[in-house]
Amino acid sequence: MGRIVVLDAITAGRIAAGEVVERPASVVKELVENALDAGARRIEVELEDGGRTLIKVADDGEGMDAPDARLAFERHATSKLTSAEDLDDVGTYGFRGEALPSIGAVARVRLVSCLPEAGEGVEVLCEGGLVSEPRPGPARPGTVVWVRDLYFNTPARRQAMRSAAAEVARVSEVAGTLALAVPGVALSLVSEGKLLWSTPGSGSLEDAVVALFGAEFARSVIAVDGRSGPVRVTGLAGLPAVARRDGKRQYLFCNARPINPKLLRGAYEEAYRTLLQAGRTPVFILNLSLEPASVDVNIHPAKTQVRFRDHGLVYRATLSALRAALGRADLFGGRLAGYPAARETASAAETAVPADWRDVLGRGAGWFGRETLPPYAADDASESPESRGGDWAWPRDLAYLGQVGRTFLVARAADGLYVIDQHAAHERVVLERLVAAGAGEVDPEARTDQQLLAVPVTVELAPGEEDVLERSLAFLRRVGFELEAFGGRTVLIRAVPAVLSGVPVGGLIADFLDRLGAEGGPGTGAERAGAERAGAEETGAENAGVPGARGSLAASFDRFRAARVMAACQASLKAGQGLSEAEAEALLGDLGRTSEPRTCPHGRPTLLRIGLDELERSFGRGRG
Amino acid sequence: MKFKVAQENLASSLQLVQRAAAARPTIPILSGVLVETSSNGLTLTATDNEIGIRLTLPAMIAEDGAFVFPGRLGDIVRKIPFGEIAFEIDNSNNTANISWGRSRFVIHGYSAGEFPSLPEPGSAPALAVSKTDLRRLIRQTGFAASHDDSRPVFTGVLLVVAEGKLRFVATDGFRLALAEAPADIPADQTFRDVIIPSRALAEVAHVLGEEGDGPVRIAFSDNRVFFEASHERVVCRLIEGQFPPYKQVIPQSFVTRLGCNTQDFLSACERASLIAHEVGQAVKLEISATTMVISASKPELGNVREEISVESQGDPLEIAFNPRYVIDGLRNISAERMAYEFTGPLSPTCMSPEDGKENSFTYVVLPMRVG
Repeated sequence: MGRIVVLDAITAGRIAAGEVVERPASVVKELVENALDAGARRIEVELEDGGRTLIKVADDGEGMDAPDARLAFERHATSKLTSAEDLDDVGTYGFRGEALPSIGAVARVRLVSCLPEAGEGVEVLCEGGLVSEPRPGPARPGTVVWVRDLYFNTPARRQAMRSAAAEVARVSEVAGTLALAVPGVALSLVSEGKLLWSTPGSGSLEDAVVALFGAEFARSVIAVDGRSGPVRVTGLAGLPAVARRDGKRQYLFCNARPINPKLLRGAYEEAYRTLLQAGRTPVFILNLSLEPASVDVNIHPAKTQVRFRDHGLVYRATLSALRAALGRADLFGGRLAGYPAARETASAAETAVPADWRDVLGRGAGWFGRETLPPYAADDASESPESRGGDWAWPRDLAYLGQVGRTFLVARAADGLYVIDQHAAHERVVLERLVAAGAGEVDPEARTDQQLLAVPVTVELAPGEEDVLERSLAFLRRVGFELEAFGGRTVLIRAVPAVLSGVPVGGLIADFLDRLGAEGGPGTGAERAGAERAGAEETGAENAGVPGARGSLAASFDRFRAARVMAACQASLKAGQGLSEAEAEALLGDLGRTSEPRTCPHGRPTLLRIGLDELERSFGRGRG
Repeated sequence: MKFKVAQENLASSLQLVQRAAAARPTIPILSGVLVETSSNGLTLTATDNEIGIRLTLPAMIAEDGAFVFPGRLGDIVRKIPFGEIAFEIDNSNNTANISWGRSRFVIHGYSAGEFPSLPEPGSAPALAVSKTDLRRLIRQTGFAASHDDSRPVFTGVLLVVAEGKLRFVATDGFRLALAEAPADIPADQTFRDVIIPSRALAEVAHVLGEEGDGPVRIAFSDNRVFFEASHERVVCRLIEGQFPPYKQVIPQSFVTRLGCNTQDFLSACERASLIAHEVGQAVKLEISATTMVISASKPELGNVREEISVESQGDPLEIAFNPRYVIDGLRNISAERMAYEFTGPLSPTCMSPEDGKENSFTYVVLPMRVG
């Protein structure tokens, strides 16, 4: 066959040397990736004693003939690249030609492979780096690799391994991540003879998610599908209810290659901003589809770090795709994001591979050239959002019924019964008013409407805050505050933005200065640039072009926004307050006019809907 | 302890007194109601240590004693049919035997000795005011207090004794309400200004009820205030702190003054507020010698313009307000005609009943700066 060649010196030089085999999980990762690159449809991973005694990976891929099988254990032997130029256009998982030789150096490896049409297979052994001559093996299509006695010749490494359970957990995470990357491939994990999980390989990401995380979890995710220029973002995003404290269940793939989700941390944090409680991180499984040439994967041997040619473009694509998905989702219920519906759409669309996918990915020989491949390009959520996240809009016919426990408002609409947390609702209303008031930023001469105060509010500045106040004075005045120094560190507020009528503003200003002080004020490079970016994102084009003059303004504005989120809570009506019918109706009306009536600025839900269908079900009147 | 009491009396008294019982008590007994016999009948007491309410109601006492009923008692009594209920307390095992008709209810309670004693006014300085006036003072000021717990003094109502009158003042920083009533003030006693939680005053108003008159004695101890009527007593803790200098807020002169029909002005403002219904939206007043135009507009909704007759002195004036604040003031003027004084388009305004009547109600609200 001669498909495997030793890389030339230049190519080898461009490849950073690295530790490939750190622990059983890295062995599994390399072998599963090899299997995927060989076009496997079914991959079985088996462990014994957490991988110490045995790691077995069996696939039904293309297989190898005897010379290739022998060459596979040579360093920088790979089927996936032939020259340095190919490195600019990597479309396969492995490409360094490092995996098998590295594993073979520290374990007793037995490889059995067979080409599909061959009547006889081949078997190669490798022990501590010594490779046997190929000899005939069983005629089983595909490749099976047994890795026994890992680190038998490196006692220090062997000692460094954690408990079997810990290693199994790591293997499960690594293999699970790959299973999510390629829902079209059936992957299973067996430990000590027991099946831990097995994905069906149906091509549906939802099916893989059900297999790995359970059906309950799958009901709490919504479909994501968005495109910005050459970047398409597809996958699933968790509803706020399943956000986690431990930062787990974040999966990001670039052309189905797992990459570090933190690369786009800014994008998902921005998309979920105000939807999540403090300290929670969103859950998502996203794939970025873009031209292989526009991303550099060869930064680190583990290949989880990549460099995008245009990071900003990928950032914006991810942000807008997530925003669009969250925007149309039934955030407070998630019941509409039912798994069965999602499965139908996904599998129906499986064959409909967009033409450009093939253009982008079709390198012919590689795994990406196959039809089943586009992992979850098969996804027409954009055409039928109601089948996934569910369309939800503020019900126009919402009618107020009464107050419960001086904390909750109850209302009805055609689609069910609504319970609204009045405190959270009020926070949301106050926040949006402030944002609207602050949006008049563009014209420096324009003043916002002010409410003059009968009794001025005094704010005591903390030591060092005079400076902070000085810098933000112009900004505060434009938003509508009238401030006056009152000797020492006392400041008098004589007027407040009209939208803050009735809201205690002393705490707001104190919080604002506190935050501004803590962040070091407008000035430091990176942080300021970040704020400018955020500012440009928010206000759109008119701000984007002039970073210089408006820089510090944009920076402080963004901070003010953060302070307002905090202030809105403080400022708001406390739970446990009786509301008149008129007040309650006004609050509901105000809430309905906000851009995101479903959560308060801190991410807690403002309302709960008990759908008509659920009521019917509960009373045994449902359609099932 | 043994007594008989009319169901309707006990049910309504319990409903009032239990408002002071702790909803989420740190010690369970604070959710209960202390019932004691006295020469006047039964006294019921509940307290959460911030507010305490004590009521007396007629009953037939067969045997003196005291007992703490659990908070449940109110629910039980409400469900018992109209008529006479007999209570018999077994202090040895803290149970109460409640019987009516051919029915009997046994509930467990607490020993009266464990209940915190309600503070007594003792020889604290005291004055007297009529129930009618006290109700009005509470109504005309309580609404203006703040709900913001971060500045406690703003959540209270200031009580000032001066010039033979009792004065209530409340402000949330955005507007200020002041009401006065004649009071019976002993000449030999001095009263310091105190701040009472507006929530406690709301309970006082509840306990006093809508009807009936008679004197209410108000006593001020170092950290508490006591409201005592013939059968009721409310005790509450004072709010510590310095009330804002309210006199400085009330304008002493004016550049424009108008008099008009209170109801006409109020109705026009209420209609205008249907357009300016979101917080931060203004209602505009244009005042000339004989008319006042009240207008509001919101581009996506529409606009309203109403004209009412006024008698005005001074300069013509244009001024903008948060309609809610104006409405709050007007609703508290029961006189047919009201007076409204202005000191400029961006300075304090002051409304009151036109007949003056010793200036019993003064309401200061600041305008909005628009456009």
